[in-house]
Amino acid sequence: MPEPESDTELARRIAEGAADAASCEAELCRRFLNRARLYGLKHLRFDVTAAEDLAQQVMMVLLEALRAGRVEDLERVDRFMLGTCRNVAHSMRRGETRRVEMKRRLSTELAGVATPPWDLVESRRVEECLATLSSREARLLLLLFQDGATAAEAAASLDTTPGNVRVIQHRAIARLRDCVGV
Amino acid sequence: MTEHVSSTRFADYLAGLLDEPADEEVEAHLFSCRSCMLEAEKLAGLALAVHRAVPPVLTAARFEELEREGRIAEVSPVSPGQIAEARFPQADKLLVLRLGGSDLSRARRVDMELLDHDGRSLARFDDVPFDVARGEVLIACQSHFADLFPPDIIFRLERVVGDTREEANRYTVVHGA
Repeated sequence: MPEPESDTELARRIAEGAADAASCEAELCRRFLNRARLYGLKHLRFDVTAAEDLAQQVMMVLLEALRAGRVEDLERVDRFMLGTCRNVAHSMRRGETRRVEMKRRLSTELAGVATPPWDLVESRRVEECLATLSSREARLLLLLFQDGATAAEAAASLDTTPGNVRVIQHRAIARLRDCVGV
Repeated sequence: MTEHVSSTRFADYLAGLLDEPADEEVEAHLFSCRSCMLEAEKLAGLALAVHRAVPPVLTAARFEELEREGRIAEVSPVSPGQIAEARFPQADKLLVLRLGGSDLSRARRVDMELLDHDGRSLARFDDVPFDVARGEVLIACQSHFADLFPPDIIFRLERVVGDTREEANRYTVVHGA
């Protein structure tokens, strides 16, 4: 299939039930799946399994809506996706998941979509690099990314201000990126 | 499309340091901009790896989590004054050293220093997690520590009580091959 020029064109072909709608769906999933996964990582506190579930549910809702002609503005599929991410995350936090059914129905559309890119960062290398940060920087990153501390909580732990928490975090992330090489 | 989002703003977003309107602004841009998404993916990878990373000193909650995940190969209690023997664990497994028997009941903070057998400082960890009731600090010994530290290690715990800093205890661990 010659690659369509835009997300809108893909959405339109799916909505119209074009002859190549199935391959358009696969292509749309390839383009959008990681955005939904990243939304899930952030809002479901780095629970990779839950983030994957969220992404799959979101893609299913999007494809079903496109097929049924329920996406009114095909120019802004991204907005529809983001709204769906918010709704699904809200439902998941309330425990209203439909995981098994979703996975079964999505097996075709998501076949061949690459694994999440964040799995490529080697944990051990990050652990080694964390050891090269100052203990204050390393402690802050663990407070924020492991304990889910707020800026105020992290500031209290480090005996500093929330504004300074952000400064320390920026410095720590920059040093970590340099060390890990991402 | 809104303006591109800087790396530092993505880092703030992932760390939960933005307020809700700012979060939503970042997300709206992210969903409409492929180049920013690529940058965000790199940072998400780093953030996830930090989330999964095992720090050298564990909280009780992290210890339980790692135990549930099957990451802990062995738990070894170590008492002050005793020379404990241990082996560095295999890759992806952990040896947890329970440095116990210290009076930490009045400590508002505990710091830890690693020394070699001649008493030279190798590393320092300030404000480490500790268990008041057990008087204990949990060390997560990892396979790559064998490349970073000598086989004989002394853990020196310091407690800060009020404005006074004092040594709580020393623990000697000898790692075999």
